Amino acid sequence: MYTGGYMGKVLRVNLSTKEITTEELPEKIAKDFIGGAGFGIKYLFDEVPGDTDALGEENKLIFAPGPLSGTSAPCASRMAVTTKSPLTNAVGMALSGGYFPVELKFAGYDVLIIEGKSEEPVYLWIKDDNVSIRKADKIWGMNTIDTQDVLKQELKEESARIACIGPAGENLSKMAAIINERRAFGRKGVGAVMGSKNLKAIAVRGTKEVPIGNEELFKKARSAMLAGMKESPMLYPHFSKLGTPMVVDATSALGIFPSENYRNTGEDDYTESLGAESSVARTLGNEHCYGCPVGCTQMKLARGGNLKYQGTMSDPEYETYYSLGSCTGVKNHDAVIHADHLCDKLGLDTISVGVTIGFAMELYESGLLSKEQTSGLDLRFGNDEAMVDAITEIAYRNEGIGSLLCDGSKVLAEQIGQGSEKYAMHVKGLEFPAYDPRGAKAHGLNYVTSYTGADHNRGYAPQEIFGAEIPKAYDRFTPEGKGWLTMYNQDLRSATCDCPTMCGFLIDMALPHMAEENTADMVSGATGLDIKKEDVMVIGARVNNLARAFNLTAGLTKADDTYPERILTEPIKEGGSKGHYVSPEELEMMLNDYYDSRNWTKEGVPTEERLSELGLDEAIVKLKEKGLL
Amino acid sequence: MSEIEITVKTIYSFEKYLGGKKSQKILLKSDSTVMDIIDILTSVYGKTLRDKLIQDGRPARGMVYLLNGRTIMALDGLETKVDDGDEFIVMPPVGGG
Ligand code: SF4
Repeated sequence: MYTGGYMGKVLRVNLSTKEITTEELPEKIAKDFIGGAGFGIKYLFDEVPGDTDALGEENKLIFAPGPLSGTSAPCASRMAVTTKSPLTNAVGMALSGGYFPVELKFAGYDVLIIEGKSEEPVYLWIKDDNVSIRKADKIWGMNTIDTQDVLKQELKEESARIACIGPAGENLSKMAAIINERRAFGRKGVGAVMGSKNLKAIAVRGTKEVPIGNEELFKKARSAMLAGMKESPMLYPHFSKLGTPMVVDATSALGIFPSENYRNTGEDDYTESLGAESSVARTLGNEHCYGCPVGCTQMKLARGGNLKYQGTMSDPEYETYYSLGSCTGVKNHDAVIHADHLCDKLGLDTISVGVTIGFAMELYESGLLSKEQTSGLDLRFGNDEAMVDAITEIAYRNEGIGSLLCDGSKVLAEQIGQGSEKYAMHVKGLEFPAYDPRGAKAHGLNYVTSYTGADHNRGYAPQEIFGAEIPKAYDRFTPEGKGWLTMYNQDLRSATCDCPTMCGFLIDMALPHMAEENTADMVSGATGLDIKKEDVMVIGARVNNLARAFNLTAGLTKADDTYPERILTEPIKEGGSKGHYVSPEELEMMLNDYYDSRNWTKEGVPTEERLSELGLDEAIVKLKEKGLL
Repeated sequence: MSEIEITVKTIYSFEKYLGGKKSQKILLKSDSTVMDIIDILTSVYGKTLRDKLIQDGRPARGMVYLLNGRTIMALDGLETKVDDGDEFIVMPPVGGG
């Protein structure tokens, strides 16, 4: 049995019946899935049928930190929220860091499961063993920043940590996020699920300590990890000082920084206006997640430009410089800072929102969207004011542009028709992140196959983007070997970051060469369980296979493992990736390689043999019931 | 002996090691390799640059080297041959999303 790392308890709150219960965290689940995304997917698979309506009463929200959260492990501050996503109808899993996740551990819980639906707006107050469901009339309608402030006052608990939704979640925008402090469980519409349950916020205050199962091993593993971080040529000073915005310069050099809804990637230079140098000029300082010595979050102040933007403080990441910057053709740095702040405040995912606005801009410029439909907004590429105004329209689902755009690019394409789906940049409904997949083929194959849709964080490919030799470097333009590589990256990411729960920046950039060992030792040290280096990739595979099984029971098929037509037919026209695209034949070849590597059928269904090897009998039973196996 | 011209590029924060230039052209003998590019750059900008680029005779950990957009680590590493008109990019370590 585990003797540390875990608090040993699952807290279950049913908002329909108002029942609040706790149960023991089973050792088998701990050992097989570690925590975080692993726990989320396991509970989701067991308790939510695949064909559940994502915004219906039957869906659940499963919050799970990992066994390292709240210990002295560096950069393990994170928590996963897992649900059926209204945006993708697949597994929706999003992670956030900051301070809220560890507070749930301090309150004594490894998993928090929210079930049912409240009739009126409520929030949840967890103070150690005392858990109550409270009326949220006062804060319903409030933005996420004020909500956190007002709740702390109401509870008379300055040090409570709060995760909440903003107007976007209340209005069930499928791009709604859950916000804690300035951080976000950003993507896949998890905020809409919370809104559908009439749950405005979760406030937590805990006073317990996370026990350590094997002090000696934990100490040793922690020292090795800190030494690895110190030696890393990447973390200090680069990443710590510049954070992710510096990636704008790198991907621009590679010709994969996407712009104007991917119609002119590589043709226009954004480094001067949105790159590291202009970013540094606006930086006030950095912020750290709990227990992180790196502190990559860069607080920035909009100092000039439009009066509306002046004085706004926010912390846009690389992805946001793309989505609310280049993807909408916007070069006004202060507008991006302001738009980022607005998304946090209203509770929206910056990536999905920016990409959807970029798509609408292309439709507007090509005459498929009229000025009447855009509520009078002149949605031309580069019009930063229109981009900023559209965000508020979306959050409130306002008639006109708001209701057209608020459920993302897939739904927008369905409403517009006329072949527009060719330019709707999403996979399974989740909007593309900031790497043009035409110039990074394994990175792109991860968008196509990730259980969450186009999600860079489920299988980042440093081997082809930066030539990392883990286990070897790959040419980013060629399709050969990319199926196996994608599987490797996905399993590694799941097991070493998403489950334990460690920060992906750290593992990907600083410690990729020791990721498996580090996970095995840190988790074993914290929990007292015996997890070996060889077990780590098996756990990653287990998580990805179970998530795939859920998606199949939700009705997804091989046909959903694909790109929008633009990627399959239009080569990048200029820059460092000029001439490259992913032909349908090439995609088919990479997909077959991926399915083969995973021991899945040609239709992308995990074989009984593979599921059984991974100990996933529950998946065999369910897939058989559905006639899928 | 015939010469070839290649373009060397870098990105923000590393140009300080390359004479403050984000892009520059250099001349090499034909039949040169990536290592020859680094030798020439070192002869101009000094040992500090070399120490940033090479560790134990290998490309320094974390640094990114691209020849015509492809990582040299998937080609022949420092021995990769270069041609007239090629573009060589050297970048400091970056990552994240
Ligand atoms: S590296 Fe950045 S995101 Fe990761 S834990 Fe540290 S501050 Fe948080």
